[in-house]
Amino acid sequence: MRKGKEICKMLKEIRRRIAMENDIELVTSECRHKGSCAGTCPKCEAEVAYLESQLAARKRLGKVVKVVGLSMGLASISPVFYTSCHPHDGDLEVIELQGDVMPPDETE
Amino acid sequence: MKAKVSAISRLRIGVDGEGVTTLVAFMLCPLACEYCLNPQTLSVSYSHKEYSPSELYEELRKDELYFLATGGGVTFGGGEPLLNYQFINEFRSVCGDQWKINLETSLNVPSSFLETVIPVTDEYLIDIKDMNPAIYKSYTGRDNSLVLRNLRILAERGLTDKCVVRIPLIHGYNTPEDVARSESEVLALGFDRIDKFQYDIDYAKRKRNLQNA
Repeated sequence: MRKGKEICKMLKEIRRRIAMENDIELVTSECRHKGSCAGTCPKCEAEVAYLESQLAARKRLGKVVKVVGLSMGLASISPVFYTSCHPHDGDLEVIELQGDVMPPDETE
Repeated sequence: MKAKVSAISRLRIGVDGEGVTTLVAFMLCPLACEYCLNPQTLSVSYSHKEYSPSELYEELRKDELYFLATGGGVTFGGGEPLLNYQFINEFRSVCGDQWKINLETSLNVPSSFLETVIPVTDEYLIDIKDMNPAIYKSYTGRDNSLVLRNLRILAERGLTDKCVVRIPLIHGYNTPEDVARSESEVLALGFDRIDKFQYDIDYAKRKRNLQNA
């Protein structure tokens, strides 16, 4: 299973590419959260919301928006098939799945 | 139409399908595998949420940019997702064509369920357990004739390139030789994307948890 910090970096890179391809100014800062990370946080989610609003504004102006396939390189990572029915972690009691949002106070 | 969902796991990368995916785990399964990872999906008393296709779409849409940019989408698992075949079909009409829809399934369902979702499914992750009917029944409590029939349907439709067939080595139930035999049978059907793996778990603990579920 990929670590949350690794997921966070990948997602940040995707956001950066979307912004760059669509001439959107996106200022990101280094995440200072210590400890485990679920791959996203309110700060990351806010960046996504900002991108979506900027892309919607461009659509309204009749501009071409480029998103589809921008980060297909990520898709070329071979799935390791750690699926929901793949008991890889050895601990049945852990049913909280990867990807939940961290509390805001831990991410600032 | 509502479906019972035991868990939603966002932002999975290289886990169960291409790109960034969200796993939606449905409740209920026709099998009773001894080492089931998600026995909570079998328990009617487990706290779950219910979604209509539109409600689920709204829940998942927050990651649409990632899906579109990476060729990802939603993976339906569980539980057995094909028990919700009508829901999945309707979900496709709600989410449109750009999201990938992957199914993580045992295929142990009536063929009409599978045939309903074939037009809307991009990838199948199929856990066949073991091709030997006796081993399969011993481990899951069910016959595997529907699995074989549905594998043949996928092969006859020329969909093997959309399928990953997963063959586990199951402690106390099959052997590496059984796994090799299953692999040969699956290859003979025309499937060549095969994932062989070994469960790495605390078997005694898992067995106790399943009994308590």
